[in-house]
Amino acid sequence: MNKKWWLVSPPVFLLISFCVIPLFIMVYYSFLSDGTTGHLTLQNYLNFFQKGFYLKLTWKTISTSLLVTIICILIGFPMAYIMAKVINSGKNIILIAIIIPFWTSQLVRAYSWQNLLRDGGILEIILRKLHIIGPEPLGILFTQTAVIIALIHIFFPYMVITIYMSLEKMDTSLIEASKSLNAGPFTTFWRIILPLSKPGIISGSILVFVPSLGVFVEPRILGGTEGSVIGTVIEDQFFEIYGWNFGAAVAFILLMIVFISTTVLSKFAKEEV
Amino acid sequence: MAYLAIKNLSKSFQNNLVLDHINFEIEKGTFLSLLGPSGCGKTTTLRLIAGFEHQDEGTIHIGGNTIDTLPPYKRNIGLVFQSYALFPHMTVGQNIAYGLEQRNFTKGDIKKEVSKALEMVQLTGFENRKPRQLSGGQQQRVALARALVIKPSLLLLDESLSALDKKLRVDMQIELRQIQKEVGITTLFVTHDQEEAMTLSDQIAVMKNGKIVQMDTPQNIYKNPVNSFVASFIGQSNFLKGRIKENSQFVLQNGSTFSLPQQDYSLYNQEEYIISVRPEKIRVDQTRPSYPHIQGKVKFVTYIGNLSMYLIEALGHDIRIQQQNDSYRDQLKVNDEIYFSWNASDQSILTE
Amino acid sequence: MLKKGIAWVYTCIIFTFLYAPIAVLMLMSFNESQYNSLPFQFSTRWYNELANNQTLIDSSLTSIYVAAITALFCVILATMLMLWIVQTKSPLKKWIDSLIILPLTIPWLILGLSILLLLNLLNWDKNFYILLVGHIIISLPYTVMVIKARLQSLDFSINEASASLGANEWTTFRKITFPLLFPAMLAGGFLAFVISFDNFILSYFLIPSGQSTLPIEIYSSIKFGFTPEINAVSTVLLAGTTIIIIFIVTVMKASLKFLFK
Repeated sequence: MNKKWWLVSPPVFLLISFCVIPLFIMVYYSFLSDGTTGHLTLQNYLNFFQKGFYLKLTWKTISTSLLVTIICILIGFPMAYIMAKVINSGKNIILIAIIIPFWTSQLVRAYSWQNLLRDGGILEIILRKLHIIGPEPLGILFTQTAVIIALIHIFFPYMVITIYMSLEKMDTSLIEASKSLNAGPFTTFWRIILPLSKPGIISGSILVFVPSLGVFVEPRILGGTEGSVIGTVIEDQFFEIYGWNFGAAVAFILLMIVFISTTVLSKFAKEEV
Repeated sequence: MAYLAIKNLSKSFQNNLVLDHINFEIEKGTFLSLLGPSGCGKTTTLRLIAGFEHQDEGTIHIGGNTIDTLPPYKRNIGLVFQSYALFPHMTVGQNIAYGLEQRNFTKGDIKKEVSKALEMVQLTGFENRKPRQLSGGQQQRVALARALVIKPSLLLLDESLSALDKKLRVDMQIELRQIQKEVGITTLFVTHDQEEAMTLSDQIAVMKNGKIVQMDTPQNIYKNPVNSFVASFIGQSNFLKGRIKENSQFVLQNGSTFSLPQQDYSLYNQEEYIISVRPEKIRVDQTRPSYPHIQGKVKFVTYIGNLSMYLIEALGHDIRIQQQNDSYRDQLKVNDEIYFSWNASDQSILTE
Repeated sequence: MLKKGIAWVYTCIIFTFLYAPIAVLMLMSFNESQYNSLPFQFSTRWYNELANNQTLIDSSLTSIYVAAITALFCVILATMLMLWIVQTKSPLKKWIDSLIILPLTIPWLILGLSILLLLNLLNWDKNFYILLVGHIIISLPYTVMVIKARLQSLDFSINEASASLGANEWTTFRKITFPLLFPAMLAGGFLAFVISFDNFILSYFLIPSGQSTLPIEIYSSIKFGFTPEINAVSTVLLAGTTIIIIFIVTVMKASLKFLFK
């Protein structure tokens, strides 16, 4: 009676044929010398690991994602805490207001930063009016800084919401109990609030760090020549240079970095609590 | 054959035998409770009868016919779920009408039957409410009306009262029993609450580990439990484990000895027995009596209004005694030295 | 009181950060200047030009078309999956659960290129069906989460109650499960629509030559030059998405959680 395979087989078939199998095909391509006709080789991987350029790019991708994640935690935690424990009214409106930009086009949001950050743009004009900068151009657009700002903007809601959900679950009387035991605000934060919100911080970190590894649109639009990351290398291989086999190898390396970081971070989350 | 006959019913889940060849029969109109701790197989029995699971072995007969091959929707069995399972998007009236619609009743008949059913459960005028606008007790009644309106051949109740608070539960027990008698429907009630089973049932089947340990009337089960599991599951009891020697001496496992009440013990020739005595059957004397007795000291006193519970230390055991608080009887105090005993007819001599 | 004051100031700073770029973009879409330069001069010029830009209109229609079909399929497939998942005891359940969220854990970039490689290996041309399949795969997990959240909040025994009252499985689905699931199916469908409509990466890899979706048009405009119509079309896009998201949140007000992970 519970068999009913006809319910489950179409979606499963779709996912296996067009999600799982293609990944294996990607791995297969990454070991071919040329297109589908070439012979099996390790050359694509050797090219990647022997060139300092690609290794540097890999490190740059990882460190950028790490930086984005850390900044998201630092500015996201107070926001989540305010929503969960400080304010009583308007909570849902704030929640929805955080969600909405999250669901709007990533492309449009990256583009909107271009508008704001470019030399002679609105931000420059405002900052000059406030005498924060002098007559020199702002010079943020087409730098790594612009990319990082946009990535924070894009992934920030993930962090806020996951931390918010773990703080929301936390019993407020725990904070009161800590205070009643003569712990100061700093001790209460360090010994009670932070450890209990750790699962939220870690799952938020997964949701920020992992997708940051694979971006290529933001670096392209906002990073200019400085913006190259693994994602843009892959895009180049598929759309400009037509080095699909090498592109597949880079994609596989990216996938491995994604899997390893997800696994390690999830392990962290499972420890304690 | 009896009205409801369960023969050799067995069911395993993932190599785990949850129901082990059970057999029982009940006559039409009987209220039977399946009583036992969680995991004893009582809910599985109910789900097999309803048809939500299929047995590995055995047969189920209702009114002489087997229902084994019928899907749940053809069994014509009324069910009241623990959560009531009222359809949240339908009104009370629509909920009750649902089963009649499946049976192709005309609109007029449905209307008549629904209002009759609502009258039976005293909810006339509630047709257009949604389930979430009702209290727990009212939801319970709607669920009962919905199950009974289809005139089922059997009514199954799955822990149906356990979601209610205690006071309401007692009221609902009485009401449920009245309706059941009025309709005359054969009812199977699954519960882990022994008090509820005692109050409601004509018959109780005590289950453990997928087997029926004892099936009898509530009175008989209470008076003559077949083993210490039944004795402790239904009510409270004191258990003394040891050997029966000649001249009515009982030797406990820790070596202490006492005299049993006068009775012929010559047939009890096994190595080990358990004497079970209910706390309220123990008689207390404050001076040493002439009949066989045990000496003890009051360790703890609990006052519960009309009753007092005493914990007595005797023979290296803790013995519970329950007494009525009558005006002519003094309450015992902690450290009082007392003498207690019981009648032979009030003890059960068990083997396990 | 001081604490609350600081909290509100912080909240305002965060929301300035979140909404400033979007606000500037919307504002600029009404600015006369071609180079987004100031001072601001109100004009609907770019919206008029947008209305006459056949390329943008065509690609928007393609996007709507793809997103609508994606949404429809996602709702059907997610419902089938979830009806199976909630009542199955199959040992495969765990595997199927992780299979469903697999597209969430892999960068879309990699999903897109690996499907492209599948086509290449099979020697197939890029076509519309494959584009749809790609969109369905990335949107399905979100629809599944919405429908799952709803199904889990329902008491499964109402299905058994229906059966015990004489309704067969089809009637039970029609009269009980479907009406109760419908809001979630609607919300899940709109969510899939938004994801598909906004999706650039999968389309970028899989779009047949000569065709285009709105995000692809926007990307090439940004990359290759400055077209102020992009401000206008982005504003339309943002407004549309916002309306749909607010709609979804209202329909599924019980839990906002499903919108994440």
